[in-house]
Amino acid sequence: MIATDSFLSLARAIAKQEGFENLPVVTIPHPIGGREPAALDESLARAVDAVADALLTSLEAEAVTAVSVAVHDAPADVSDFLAFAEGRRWSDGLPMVPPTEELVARAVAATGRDAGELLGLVPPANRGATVGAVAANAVMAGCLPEVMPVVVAAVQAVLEPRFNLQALTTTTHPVTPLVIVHGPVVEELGFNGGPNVFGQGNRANAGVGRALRLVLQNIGQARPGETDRATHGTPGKYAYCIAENTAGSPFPTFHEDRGGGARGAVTVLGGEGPHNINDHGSTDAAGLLTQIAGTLANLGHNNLYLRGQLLLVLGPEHAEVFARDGYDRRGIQEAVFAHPRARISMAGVSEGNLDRYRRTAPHVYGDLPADGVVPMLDSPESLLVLVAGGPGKHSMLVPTFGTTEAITVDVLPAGAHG
Amino acid sequence: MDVRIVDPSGSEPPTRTRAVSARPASLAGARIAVLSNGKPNAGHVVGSLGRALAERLGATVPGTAEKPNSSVSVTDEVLAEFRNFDAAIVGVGD
Repeated sequence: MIATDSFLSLARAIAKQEGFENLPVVTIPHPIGGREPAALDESLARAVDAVADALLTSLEAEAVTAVSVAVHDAPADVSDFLAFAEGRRWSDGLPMVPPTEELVARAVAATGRDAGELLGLVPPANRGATVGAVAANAVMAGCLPEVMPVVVAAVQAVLEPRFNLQALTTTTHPVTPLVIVHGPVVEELGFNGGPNVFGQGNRANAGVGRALRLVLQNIGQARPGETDRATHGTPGKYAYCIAENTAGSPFPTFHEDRGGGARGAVTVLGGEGPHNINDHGSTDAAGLLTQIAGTLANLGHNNLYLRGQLLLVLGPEHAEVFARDGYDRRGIQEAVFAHPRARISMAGVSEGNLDRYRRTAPHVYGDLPADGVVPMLDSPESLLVLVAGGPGKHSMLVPTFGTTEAITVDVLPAGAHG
Repeated sequence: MDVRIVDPSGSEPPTRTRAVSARPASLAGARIAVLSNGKPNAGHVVGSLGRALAERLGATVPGTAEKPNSSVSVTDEVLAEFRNFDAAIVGVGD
C-alpha cells in the first residue's frame, strides 16, 4: 500500500481492519493533490525499490490480539480521573463523568438489554459496540439513564452500511453524524427542538450528541490527526443533536415522513455544520424559495460533486409562510428542486475540479460544457425538510458528506427490542 | 481512593482470517494490478510506480482500475479481476 506520509496512521488502521496487519506500507511525501503530476515524479522514483520489496514481502504473521480489560480501578478524585482518562485517550477535551460500575449498570438497565449485547462493529478500528461500552460512553458524556434508548438507536443508525461511517470518520471533510430526534420521545425526555436548537443549554441534546461522538472516538478509535483525517473538523464533533419542533410544523411531521415508530425515532445524517438562511425580508413562499435556492447553490460543499442529500431546517416562522401559501413538505422539495436559483454555473469552477466532477458524478457533468449550468439537487427527495428552532426569521441548511444516506431507527422502550 | 469504572472502548475486533496468495519470488514477469483511489493524482502515483516496476524489474501491469470516488469501496467486479494478479498496488492519501 502506498500512503502519503500524513496518512500513514490511517493506512495502518485500514490494513489492520482488513485483516492484513502486516501489509507493507510505503510512504511518499504529502500531499499528492493540488500539484502538477510531474512534480511527484522524483519522490515516486525514490519509492520504486521500496514498493518492489513490499510486493515480495510475505503477509503471513501471527496476529497479536491485546486482551481487553472490561473494568479498571481509576482515581476517584475528579481531576485525577480526567488525567487518567486523557492518558487512555478517552477524552474529547471536555470534563467527563467517571463511568463507574454503578452508573453504567443503571444506564444499561435503562436499555432493557444485556451489557454484553453487540450492537455492531465501529469503524475504523472495528471494535465491538457492546451495550455496556456504549453505556460507559454515555455516562462519560453526561447522559441520564433515560436517554440511553436514544443513544442506542443513534449508534444502530450510524452502523447501518448505507450511512458509510467508515468514510465519514476517516475523511478530510468537516462532517459528523447529526442526530435528529423526532416523535413523542422528544417531549417525553425533554429534548430541545425549539429556540437555539443547534446550540447549547439542553442536557438531553448535548448528552446524546456527545455520547455518539465518544462512541466513535473510543470504540471506533477515530482519532484526530491519525485515523480521523479531518482537515478542520467541525464543532459538531463535540456534540451534534437536535430535535424536531412538532408544534411548529404546520404540515405533517418529519417523524411521520420518516415512518418513525410509536415512541419516537432518530434520524442520523452525515452533515457539515449548519449554514444560516437569513430571510427577514420575504413575505411569501416565492421569496423564501429564492433565498433558500440561492443559499443551496454553493460551490463549497461536497453535494456539488458527490451529490446525495441535504437537510433544510425550516424555522417555524418560515414554515408558517410556506403553509399559508399552500406548500407542504413535498411542495417545498419540488419547488426548491426546480428553482432556477438552485442551479450553479460551471463558469465559477476550475478546469481541474470540473474534470474531477465529471468522474465522480458523470450523470450530471459527463457531457457538460465548461460554462454549463447544473441543478444542485438530483431529485426533490434529495432535500430533507424538517421544522426546528424557535421564533425568528432564520432557517438552516445542512450540506452532507454526499456519499452517505440518512438513516432512521426507532427508539424502543426498554425490553421491547429483539 | 479508587473507583471501579467500565472501559468505554468496546470489545476486541473480530480476528479476520484471509486467504493470502503466495508472494511472487521475483517481480520479473509478475502480474501487478494497480488501483487508484480516485483522489487527484492518485492514478499518476500508482500508474507511475507500476510502469517503473515494468521497466526496471520486468513486471507486467496488464490493467488499472479507479474508484469512482475515494469515499466508496472498490467494486466486486474490480476485486474479482484482481484475483488473477500476483500482487497489487493501492494507496491512501490526499
